[in-house]
Amino acid sequence: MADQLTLGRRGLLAGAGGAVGLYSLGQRRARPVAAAPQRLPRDDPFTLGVASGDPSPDGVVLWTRLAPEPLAEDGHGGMPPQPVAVRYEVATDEHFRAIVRRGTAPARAEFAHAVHVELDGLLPHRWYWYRFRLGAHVSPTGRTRTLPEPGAQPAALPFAFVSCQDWQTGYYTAYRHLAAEDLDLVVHLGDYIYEYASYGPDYPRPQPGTEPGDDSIRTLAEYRNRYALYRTDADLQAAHRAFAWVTTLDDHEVQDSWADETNLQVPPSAFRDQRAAALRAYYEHMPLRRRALPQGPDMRLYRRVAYGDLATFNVLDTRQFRAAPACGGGRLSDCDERWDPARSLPGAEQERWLHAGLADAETRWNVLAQQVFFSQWAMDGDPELFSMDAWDGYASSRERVLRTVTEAPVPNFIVLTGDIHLNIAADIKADFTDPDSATLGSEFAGTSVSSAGDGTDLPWWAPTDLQTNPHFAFINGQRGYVRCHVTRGRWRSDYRVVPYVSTPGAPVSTRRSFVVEAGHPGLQEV
Amino acid sequence: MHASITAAGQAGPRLPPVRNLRATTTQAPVSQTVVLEWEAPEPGLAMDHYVVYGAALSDFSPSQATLKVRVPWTTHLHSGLPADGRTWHYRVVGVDAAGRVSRFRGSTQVSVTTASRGLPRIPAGNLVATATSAQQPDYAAEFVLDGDPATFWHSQYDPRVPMPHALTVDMGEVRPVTALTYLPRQDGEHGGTVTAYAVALSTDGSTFTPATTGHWWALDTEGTFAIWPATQARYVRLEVLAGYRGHASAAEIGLFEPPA
Repeated sequence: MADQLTLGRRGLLAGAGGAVGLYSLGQRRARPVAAAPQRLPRDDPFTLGVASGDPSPDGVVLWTRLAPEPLAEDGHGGMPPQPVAVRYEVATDEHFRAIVRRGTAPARAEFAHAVHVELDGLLPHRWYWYRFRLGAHVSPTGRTRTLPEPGAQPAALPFAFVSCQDWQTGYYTAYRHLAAEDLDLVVHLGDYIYEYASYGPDYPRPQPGTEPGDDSIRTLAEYRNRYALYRTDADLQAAHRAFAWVTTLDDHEVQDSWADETNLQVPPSAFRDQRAAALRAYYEHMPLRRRALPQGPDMRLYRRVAYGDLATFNVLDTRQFRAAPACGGGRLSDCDERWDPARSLPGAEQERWLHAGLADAETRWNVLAQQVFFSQWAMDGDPELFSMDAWDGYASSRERVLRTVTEAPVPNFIVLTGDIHLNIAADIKADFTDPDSATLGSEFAGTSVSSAGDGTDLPWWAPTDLQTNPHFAFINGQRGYVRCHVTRGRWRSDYRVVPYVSTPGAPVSTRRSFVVEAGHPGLQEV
Repeated sequence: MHASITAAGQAGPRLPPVRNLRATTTQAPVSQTVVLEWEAPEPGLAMDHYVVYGAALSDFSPSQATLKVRVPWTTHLHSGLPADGRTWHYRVVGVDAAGRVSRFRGSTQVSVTTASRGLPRIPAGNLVATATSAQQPDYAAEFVLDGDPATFWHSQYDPRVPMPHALTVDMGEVRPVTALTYLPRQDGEHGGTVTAYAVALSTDGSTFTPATTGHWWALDTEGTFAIWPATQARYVRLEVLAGYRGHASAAEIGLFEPPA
């Protein structure tokens, strides 16, 4: 993207070399915006808040999107088609007394006037504050933190992970509490939006805006407006303002239960176009690096995030490359196809990348940050009934990961999971049918922020599933997030839950905590 | 799918027209379908949506269009047309990610003529349907031939029998057959609606020969069809390669012979 951004008909927002997309504009290289008049919105353009993400030891991505009219039907947020130059400032204090970076970034109609600023040259493991300016308007201030250097030996990593935030089913009270936590990082495991049309008036939060003619959004404008709707939420904005996020997507960012080029409703050739629109809107609204910019229906989202020598997150994308669901999908008890060695959940290329990364694991804790349930989960008391959507449906693919974990060996293996709207803590076994087999790591599945509504402490089926799956230590069906405190000797996960989401204002409490001692695989009760 | 047209970018620069618009129709058993396909104005250009216009007037304006739908993909099925030999005219306008709109006036117009009559239906009274799996007794295979769209066949779901499934119709005698119509369940649910299929034919019920294969849209509740070169057969087997949520279902199946 080495084009130059034309402002009006005359001026150029000329970054030296004109690489306006690759934003590493330090103060030295920033150029004043040319004198051409800009058409600036009269109303506050920062209605969707600010965000930061994908931190590195020397930088981070800053995000905002100009949308004075956030749900304008054309998906352009009430912005005119012309590009606009947005100023940003980065400081080492929240009052911006010590500004360390200042520059301008383009907001263009082709990205719905979303702004992605890729900073570099920052100091490792530091807090920074940032804000945007457009005309007289100043955005809310966001806070972010760079990662420790690769060789650093940080004492602790406090972070939280979240997933599944259906607007219609509840309030984002969990985010209000998360924003008040003491964290370095938030990891989002997907289902950031839901593609469905309105469920009707009997749900906690009606979904405003034009309804499509079928049960799903499908055009770019519709996907853009779905993100915009979610981002108008004050609690979600607060959580983005407070921490840098690392995000990956699951199915509902595109279409329920999609797998590679197949989905449930439209032929593959048409689905590719819908997928391109969905992935573009995802990129536009997440604080992602330029390398994640989709090319048509393809997006490189899987990546590694290392926190000094303490932890490595292998952030996976288990939707874009997965083999079609075994035996047609669903929950099945007699499907041999799930053992077909030719089928992969991450896809061949990502699986190679994952295995290479795990084999070279150099950090104390080695984490998969991913979507669907990883451990074996026999359902409804039937030892052979499994979900074809989860790793159980790709059992050979899981076996290969566990073989690498065993053979490398990968120390202190931890899997983080979203998708299922449940809190589950489980041990990952060498042989899930043999409770006495080796424990290779632990899985923490985190519940939804709002999806599925208020929920219940112990789902009716949970006692049965705890019995059928002796490697499960905990099941809970309330809403919330998982707070983790990782040190050199110990991983601690606190299951933070709210008792309801159908109305705002619920308190938060820790429902259960588990620790894993480094070098001694297996969950321990706190 | 979407009736309203965006006003995005009308103040901004124009988008070049969509490319390579073509319209094709195949002799269909009953109601006729025109398949429209096109390409983005520029290769790889990020698009928001397209608006497809169609009319039976050769010199039509957007206000006269009897077809006006908004779609995110580069194809559209104009289905449910009567078999009356009418010539239809189509134009497609694009809106890109930046909100630029291509001109209706600058778009290519394509025309296609539908078949003047449908195919002769093989009377259902002589047909017998069986399935590899059915949820008995409420969703038995025989419901696909009862002429009642409210009843339907559904593969067994309790306990669930995995894919693939197949529905075989025995015509009682070897005769020429060239098409099959498929009406999905009409109760508002999509479970089992066939999205990928193959048709195989047999004279003896044991050796089947592939006739055709393809995809159907689960969103299309009005019904669709498969057509193949006329072949002598007694058994017609609809093989369900993919169905919504991993099931198979059908409200009505019709079989058709080539025109006399």
